Amino acid sequence: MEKIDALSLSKLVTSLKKRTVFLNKKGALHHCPPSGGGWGVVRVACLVPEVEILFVIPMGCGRHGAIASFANQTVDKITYLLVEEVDLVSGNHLSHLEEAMKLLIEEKNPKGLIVCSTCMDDLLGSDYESVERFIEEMYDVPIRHGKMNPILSESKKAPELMIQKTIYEFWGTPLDLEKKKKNLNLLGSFCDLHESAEIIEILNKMGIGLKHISRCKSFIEFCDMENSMANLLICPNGIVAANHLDSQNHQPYIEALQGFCEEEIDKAYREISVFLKEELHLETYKSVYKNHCERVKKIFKGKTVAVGSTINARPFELAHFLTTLGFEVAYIVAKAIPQWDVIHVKWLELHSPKTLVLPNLDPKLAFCEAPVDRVDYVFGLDVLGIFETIYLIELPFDEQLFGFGGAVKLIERIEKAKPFCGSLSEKIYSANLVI
Amino acid sequence: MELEDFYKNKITVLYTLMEPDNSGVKIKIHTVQFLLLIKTGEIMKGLLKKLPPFAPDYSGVNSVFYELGGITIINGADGCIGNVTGYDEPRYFEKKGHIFSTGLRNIQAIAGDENILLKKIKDLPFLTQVSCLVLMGTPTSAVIASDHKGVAKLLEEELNIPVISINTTGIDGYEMGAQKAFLALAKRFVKPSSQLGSGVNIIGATPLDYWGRRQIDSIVNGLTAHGVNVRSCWTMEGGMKAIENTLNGEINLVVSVSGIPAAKHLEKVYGMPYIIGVPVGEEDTENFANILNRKDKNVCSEKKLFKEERSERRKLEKLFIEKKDIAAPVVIAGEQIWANGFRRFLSCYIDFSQISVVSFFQMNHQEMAPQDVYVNSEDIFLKTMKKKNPATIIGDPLYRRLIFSSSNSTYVDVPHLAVSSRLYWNHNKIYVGEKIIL
Repeated sequence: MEKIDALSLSKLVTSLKKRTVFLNKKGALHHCPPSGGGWGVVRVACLVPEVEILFVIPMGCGRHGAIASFANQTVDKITYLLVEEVDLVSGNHLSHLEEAMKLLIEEKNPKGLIVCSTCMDDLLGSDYESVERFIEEMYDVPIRHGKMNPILSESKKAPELMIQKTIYEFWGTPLDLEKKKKNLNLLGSFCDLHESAEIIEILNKMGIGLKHISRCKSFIEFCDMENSMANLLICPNGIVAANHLDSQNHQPYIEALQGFCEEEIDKAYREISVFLKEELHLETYKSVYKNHCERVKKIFKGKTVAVGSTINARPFELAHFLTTLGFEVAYIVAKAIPQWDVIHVKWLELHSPKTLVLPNLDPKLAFCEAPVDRVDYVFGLDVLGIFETIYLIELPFDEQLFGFGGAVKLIERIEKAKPFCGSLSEKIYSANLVI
Repeated sequence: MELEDFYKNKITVLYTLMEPDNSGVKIKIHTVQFLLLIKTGEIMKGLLKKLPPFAPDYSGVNSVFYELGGITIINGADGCIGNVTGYDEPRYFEKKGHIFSTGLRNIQAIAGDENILLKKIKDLPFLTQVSCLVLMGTPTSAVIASDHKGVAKLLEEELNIPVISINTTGIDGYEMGAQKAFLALAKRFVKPSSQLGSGVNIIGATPLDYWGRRQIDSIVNGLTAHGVNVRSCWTMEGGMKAIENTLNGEINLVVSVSGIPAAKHLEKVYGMPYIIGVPVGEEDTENFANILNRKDKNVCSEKKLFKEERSERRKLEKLFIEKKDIAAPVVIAGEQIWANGFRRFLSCYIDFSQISVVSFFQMNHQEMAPQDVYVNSEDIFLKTMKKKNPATIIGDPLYRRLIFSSSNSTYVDVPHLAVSSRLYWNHNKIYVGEKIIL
């Protein structure tokens, strides 16, 4: 541990601000192992049914997404236009783009097209807009622009946020308020809710449908989501999209972020209840959740844990929940402390003051030949490479837990976990994390 | 005619490569036809509808330096390094490499990043204990024209370790980066010697071609069995020490296009001869061994390795090929030097002129047969296949996506890591050396 600059929670609390605090030092190189990921530029773009994706990229930028999409079965939706140095200098890549878009539309007859550019075009200021509008008018096919530009990571326009906005820009003018359908759209997640989520049943009983883009079979069905009465923001990455739809399409959003702590789940349901102006009957679900939490406290008491950042959850919120279950959270490996996690960092400082926080890209992690420490459980593949452990608990991006049912599902998963004996590399490669 | 002028050079070169026997007049006619195809949209250069983008040049550089005990720094946003660590470096979990991203962000790119870059690198621990530091560029740093050469010079003066800047852009293929890296090794690290020693250095092996440990062992064991002393393998065996002691050997065996510039440099500066080629099959391995043992300093091309006579062993190899349903005409799609070797292996059974090498990657003119084709787009690859109408295709499994919808050809999978990345890198095939397992 001498080599790694671990941060104490007390030190972190003093640096908390109103905006997101990034944990990796600005002036340090980044260690980026294959276990990082979850941004979802390719994955999110591919969610739109009957729409083709065209990446305009140098060879180096599209490879990870392309290979991962082979395993993800989305490869046939994506085309790559490779740019060359001479084209970039002369601006000729935009002429090639025009040809490529024509070819794609004529060959595949898509209902829409997402053109994705990279960091290079951000710096060059390439005028994609005019080319895209020209082709859009020529073929009457909507074209939207997305960006895979990690150069804007840690900014308000980070690619993982902006791509979520891009896909909803296909929506046109929604129906008048009184004609809106009694549906809520799930926003921010890569997939639909896990069946354990009680919200599906609760809303169904109230005659309200729950929609996720991944369930849409056609472009028309996807566009019909614009007529839902509101969006349910369940993952933080959907925040830009939620604000965009609120201001441009007059479709409000309910901030109901997925969490495991009782307070977080209560808060999410409170927001939903306020919006619907109806009381939600959660007693049964809450009682099952509480029983589970109480039951496992003795089992988990004193077991050490490392929480990682490559999980479909918020690391500090999850650490809070695990502490309430009796676990001893030894480490949290994270990229940032967003606003909505400040409350959990403060809580952890009081209730788990020994917890250490490691920035996920710390270059010193690359020099650790032996595991940094030994813990009983790791949550997330990125920490599996750092700590020696007995149990690996996964919270994959292809599974969206929610509510009391989601938390119970997690508890059951921890209880039933078998000692990890597989290959770390195979686990990471099969998870297809990067896209 | 603006487009025509723009493409003129490229297409002429392309068609010269495709049909080197044609007269100038014919080339001109083809050129015009080609332009028409581009204009009508039939051929779209650089458009990948079925294949993934191939491994970029910085992956090639990393692959060369990975086992040499240095630190590799990619100057770009973190997405670029994700390609290398997650998709182009199968050794990552066997031996954690010291490879870092500079985490280039917008404001640094706009304001100029050299000072920040210097500081970030100097803050890295253990810097003075490494064999070298390699700094390379990405598309982003290429756009802002980061002065890597200047930064490398300053760092070298301050840290007193070799710092090498390699001019990669993320736009070229892996073989271009690997060439630059091998050449840098030859220029910077080979210790001069007044007299050459004995034994063979293998140059040009990186996992991005076909070179896993088993493939290298297969070559080395085959040659050793025939009395060849294999001293080192740039850069998968022997580490930096082997590079430094290159001149203790007598001849270099270049196993990929990536290794050619380094071998040429060693020949030019130190008079060290080289052979280009990969031994494939028993007879071929013996031929290589004989030449390497003869220390024939005039041999510089694998073309001299062909033998017309048929030995008993060749008959066995013929049986092996028959069993695999390999029938003429054959197209071998892959890295040129390996593909040439495999063609020699097949030529005991199939006429040489019936076997073509087709490659998306750089090809060496001198090593090309008249029927060989360099392709730079999916469309040209498809048109070439249509023209050649092969009964057998040997190549990376992902090329099937381009071919098999309208073809009855037999396909023999030979994964090429620079194409299919981790999708097939755990395969059990051995396609070089004495014992072939397909």
